[in-house]
Amino acid sequence: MSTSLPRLNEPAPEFEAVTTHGVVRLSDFRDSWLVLFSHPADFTPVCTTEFVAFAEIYPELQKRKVELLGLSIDSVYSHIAWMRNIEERMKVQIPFPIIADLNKEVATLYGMIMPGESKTETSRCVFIIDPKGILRAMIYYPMALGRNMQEILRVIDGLQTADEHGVAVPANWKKGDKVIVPAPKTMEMAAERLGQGYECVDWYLCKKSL
Amino acid sequence: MPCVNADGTLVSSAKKILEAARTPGTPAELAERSRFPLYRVHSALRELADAGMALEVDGRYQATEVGLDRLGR
Repeated sequence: MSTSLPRLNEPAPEFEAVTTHGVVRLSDFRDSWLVLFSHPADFTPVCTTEFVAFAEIYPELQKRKVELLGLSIDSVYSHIAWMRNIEERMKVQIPFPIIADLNKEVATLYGMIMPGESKTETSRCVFIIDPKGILRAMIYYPMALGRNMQEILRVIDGLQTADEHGVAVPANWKKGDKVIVPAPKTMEMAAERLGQGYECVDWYLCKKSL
Repeated sequence: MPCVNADGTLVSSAKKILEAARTPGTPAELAERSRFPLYRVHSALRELADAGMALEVDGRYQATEVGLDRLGR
């Protein structure tokens, strides 16, 4: 089994897959952000809480022009039955498609299977892909740990803010906080940085409000 | 074929997307007209084109005679 992983800032691997919304290709999501995520299996407890949580943040994702695409190594019939069960039992409609990756094609392409955890299930992986199809962030969680939706929103906010304003964001940053001005690249820029009105600890660590 | 029901009728999303394609449009324009996400429009248009119900010319899609027949004109 291939254990290669995709790389940040490279084109996300293209695929065509059967989903609960029909056959989709990665390129169908071009021009919007995409959160591609895998879960270990349908009808399992942690995954169910995650799907409800993903559905809850879906409106927030839509405001940020982000689509969601789930994946597990289950059949589309299993996905349909599980989605219907969640709707019936928890009154939550899952508004996004889920890939039925029975042949593990997409899971292998994206390194979603961690053989040390399971050889037959995908781990809890999150791939954030930008509107140009470039892989911008990856987060991996083990099977026993449900994902933090606020962190996923924070990563998207951080990437979109960094792209829009040409800045970086500090540890624990959240939308509205000060951002980091990219570090000077020359002695001249370093000398001039301190007089530019930023909030600086020193020449290499300066922040500003947006 | 996810766009077509077992009885041969179009599923409602495909019908709305094909309706939107009565006038030629890019997938983005058809997504706006039909109020479906762009990925669903891309996916449906591929199937509708394979089934001869929509035709793509220079990136714009339009319902064909076969497609209009399926819509009941």
